[in-house]
Amino acid sequence: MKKYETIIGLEVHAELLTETKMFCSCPQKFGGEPNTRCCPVCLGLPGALPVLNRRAVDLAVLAGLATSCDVATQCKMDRKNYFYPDLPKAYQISQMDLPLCRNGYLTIDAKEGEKRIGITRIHMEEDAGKLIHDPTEGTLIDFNRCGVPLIEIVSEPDLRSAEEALAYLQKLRSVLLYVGASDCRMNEGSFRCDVNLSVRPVGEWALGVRTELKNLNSFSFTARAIEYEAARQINILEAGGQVLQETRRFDPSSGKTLPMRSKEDAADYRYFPEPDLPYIVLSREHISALGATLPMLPDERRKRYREVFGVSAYDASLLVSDRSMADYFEAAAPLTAYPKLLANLMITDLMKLNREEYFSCPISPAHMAEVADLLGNGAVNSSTAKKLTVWLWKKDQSPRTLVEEKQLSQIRDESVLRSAVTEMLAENPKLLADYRGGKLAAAKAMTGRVMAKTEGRADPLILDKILKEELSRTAHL
Amino acid sequence: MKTLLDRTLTEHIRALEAREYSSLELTRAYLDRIEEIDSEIGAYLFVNTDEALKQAVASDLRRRRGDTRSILDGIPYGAKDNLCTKGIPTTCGSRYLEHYVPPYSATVIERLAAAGCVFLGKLNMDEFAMGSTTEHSAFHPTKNPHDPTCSPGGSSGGSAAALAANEAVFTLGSDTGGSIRQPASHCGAVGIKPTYGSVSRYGLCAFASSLEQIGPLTRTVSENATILSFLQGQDPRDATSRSAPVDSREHTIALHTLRIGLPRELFSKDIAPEVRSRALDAAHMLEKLGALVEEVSLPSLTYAAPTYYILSAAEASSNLARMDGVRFGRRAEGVRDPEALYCRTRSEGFGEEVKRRILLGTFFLSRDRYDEYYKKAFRAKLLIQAEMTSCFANCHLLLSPTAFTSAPQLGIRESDPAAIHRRDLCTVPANLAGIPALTVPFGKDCCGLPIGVQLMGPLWSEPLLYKVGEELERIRAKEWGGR
Amino acid sequence: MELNLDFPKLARLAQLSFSQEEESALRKDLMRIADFAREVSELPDEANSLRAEGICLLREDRVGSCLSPCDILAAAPAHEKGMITVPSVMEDSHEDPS
Repeated sequence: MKKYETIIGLEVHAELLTETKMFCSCPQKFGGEPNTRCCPVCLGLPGALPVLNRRAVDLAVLAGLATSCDVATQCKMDRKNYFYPDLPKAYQISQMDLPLCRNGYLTIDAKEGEKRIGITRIHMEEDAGKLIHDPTEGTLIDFNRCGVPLIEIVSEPDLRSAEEALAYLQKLRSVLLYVGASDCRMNEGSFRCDVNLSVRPVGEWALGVRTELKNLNSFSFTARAIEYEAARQINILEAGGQVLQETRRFDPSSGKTLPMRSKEDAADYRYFPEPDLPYIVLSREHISALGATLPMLPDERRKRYREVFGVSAYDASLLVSDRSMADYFEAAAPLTAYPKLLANLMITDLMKLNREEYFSCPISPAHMAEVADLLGNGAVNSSTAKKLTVWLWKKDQSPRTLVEEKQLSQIRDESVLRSAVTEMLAENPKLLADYRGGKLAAAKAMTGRVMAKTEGRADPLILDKILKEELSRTAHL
Repeated sequence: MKTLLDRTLTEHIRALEAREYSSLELTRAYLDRIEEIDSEIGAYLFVNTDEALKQAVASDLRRRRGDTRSILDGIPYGAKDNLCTKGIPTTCGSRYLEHYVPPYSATVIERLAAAGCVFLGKLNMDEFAMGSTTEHSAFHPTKNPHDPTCSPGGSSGGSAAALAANEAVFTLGSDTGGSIRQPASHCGAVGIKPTYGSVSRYGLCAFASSLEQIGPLTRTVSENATILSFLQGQDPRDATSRSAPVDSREHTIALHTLRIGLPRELFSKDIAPEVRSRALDAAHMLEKLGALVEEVSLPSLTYAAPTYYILSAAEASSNLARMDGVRFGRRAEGVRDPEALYCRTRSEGFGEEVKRRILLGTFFLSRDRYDEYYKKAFRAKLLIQAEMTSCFANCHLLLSPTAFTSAPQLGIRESDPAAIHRRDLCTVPANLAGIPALTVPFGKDCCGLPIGVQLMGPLWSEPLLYKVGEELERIRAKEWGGR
Repeated sequence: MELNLDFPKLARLAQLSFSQEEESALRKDLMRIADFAREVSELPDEANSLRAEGICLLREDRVGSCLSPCDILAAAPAHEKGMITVPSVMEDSHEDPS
């Protein structure tokens, strides 16, 4: 059997984080009662006219700059004409031959190392309404989503596997979140992905017939769909058949892709320049000014955390996965002598305490930095540090003050610890017997009992040393 | 002593201020007139009787309190039925929108309401503004008050006829390829297609977005200028709208320094002799008053009519696609298949002319034909624009006939559909170039039908057009006395 | 000049239907008008691309007023549960963009 390679290109639609829709001032928000966020413009009533949202353009430019695209100083909108119940004007205002951004890329970690995935173009367009299929009433239409601003990001067919596709999607999502262009919630429809996939024998340069996969509602569906479709196409070719150019949807229950019903001849969208919207002109100064507002992007930040703050690669990746968490780390890290510990505390403790979708912490970065310092210089042990963060989460205050008030400082006084150990041994003869009998787990339990006695304040290393000493001292008894 | 309905706007304004009569009396006079004569003329599709009276009463109340909104407070007018009027049926002359009531009003309607005008009703038109005789209205044709066997022109036939029949002080129309100017010419009215973008199109049911403008029809030039001043001005709801640049205000060009061009291409041999001679008379008389008149050549205008047809049909095919029976308008009964729903609804709701233009527009935009038709026409439009702009470097304005003939007979069925479109030649250049164009009545033909003369100027030259238009009015009054 | 007008395809794209008589009458008309329109192709192609005038007016991202669902549904030919209804579109049929 020949070896095949899979050629994948992705088209992502992301809803832009604006207050209002693309061409009218209706609010855009997820959810809400049907048809409560509509006006003559987004409903396509006769006589209504579109007016472009300035913020949508700026966010689209930021997305382009963050993906190293060339941003056009002049572009235009076009009409894409077709009939469908979710499309009120019977045309979508989009961009055809003069898109806003072109020739960008994203870098992903592929099997063979870093790989650049080309971005052919990013253009602006408007979303359509929502169709709900009802068994008795027919098809119901909610126009709330109609006119929501979208950017379409088209990748070059540079991806070769489901893993690479996911890496690209993660990276793209992260970049868009970082620049604040979109909230990228696939489950709310603000981040949608279509896959274009073909296969060809390794060594051939001609591209095979490609199919388009739609309705991929999660990253995992996308991966599974890619794997199934690649295998399906390979099987067809191996059997001597031809792949049909078509659009298919993914069926999660069977794990298969299935053909979608569509019109027989390829649609003729009769694109022409939108006469109601003159050319969009952006000065180089404006584009530069937007570029200056770009936050440092995830890749750069990861590098910085490792080089400047000594954070491990793994921890750095976790920190940059959420922009507000990364921002928080950057605010706190310079204030502590122990940024690595800070990173740890954030990942193990703060992330757990945070219940929001985005990282949101009520503890001031300065106070968190203090906790890292207290832990780092041995003033408290790690379990106390954990307790501190819980208390600070409930009420933000100076950890040093809290430590003093509650007397949480780590006990390092050997005589104090020795008497605690001695007490524990006297109170737990069975444990001691178990230990002597060879049950090593008993040692851990004994440590735990001493810890409890000291209200968790014992310095674990010193405690360990003393416990060992006492056990060996009394071993002969 | 003029009858109430014969008075001009200026006279009404003075009289209302002097409390000679009230807005209520004035409005009643017009409503009575409509009731008396409109079953014959057929200018109105909807008469806003109850509301108009209420508005008149409110206007009088404001006047008594010394609280009038503007000089137009209490003045009654009618609007073409493709202008959205909240709560009032807006049909565009089509069965598809026969029962459509918009939930909002066009910007121009809002501006006139804010000025205190009284709204008399909606005026008949060719369906979706496609046509030049108003016979393509799905409801009924309108008759020319000068001769009821003749059409008033189109597509703003109702707007022109209502004016000529004294059924409103002024009316609003829309002009995509001459639809204000040609009916104004056929009915002896003053009509203007303003500079593209100077009047907001928000609320105008679109036919050809890049070509059309809303404008007033009036009996005199100065009334026209007054009304236009209330309509012009950038509207944040129309991205193609803009306000006049500061330096384009009042051109004071004395007649003896005025240079007038007569475009050879617009004095086609197909123009009716009497129409042509009226235009030449106008030029000669202005010359006698000191203006410099010379023939100019604008070769790109040879392509103006087909260029207009392609661009307008293409845009229309897209603009009218929203009439699909889903959210508003008529929907075909008993259809189970959603695609058949669109097809049946549209085929039942649209008339022949509309279907023809949509089909052709679709053809001109189709993938294999786009370059050959639409793209070429778009280029032609830019060439025409450029040629006219450079022409205005050598003359202040252009003068030509407005229409090829005087008002045609009703009921003529043209065998060659292209011939009708060729006769748009004089009016379409202004739409293609975006420049303002004014038509002024200038005499009648031997059958007593009015003839109009057209003045075109560079962008934002409305003040100059009005000034020269008034000159033509004075000349006309001297030559033929009155109308 | 014979023009190849794919009538059924155009009618489908435009969502219009015609009787036999309407179609044959229209075919003739369309040919004539298309011929007349073709005169523009006599114009030479310009080497430099001419661009239309006008710079886009942009809108601030501020919420304005909406129509009430009542107003929206009042104009609709059919509605149910606060939404406009049409005969069932096939669940797995598709059109862009979602």
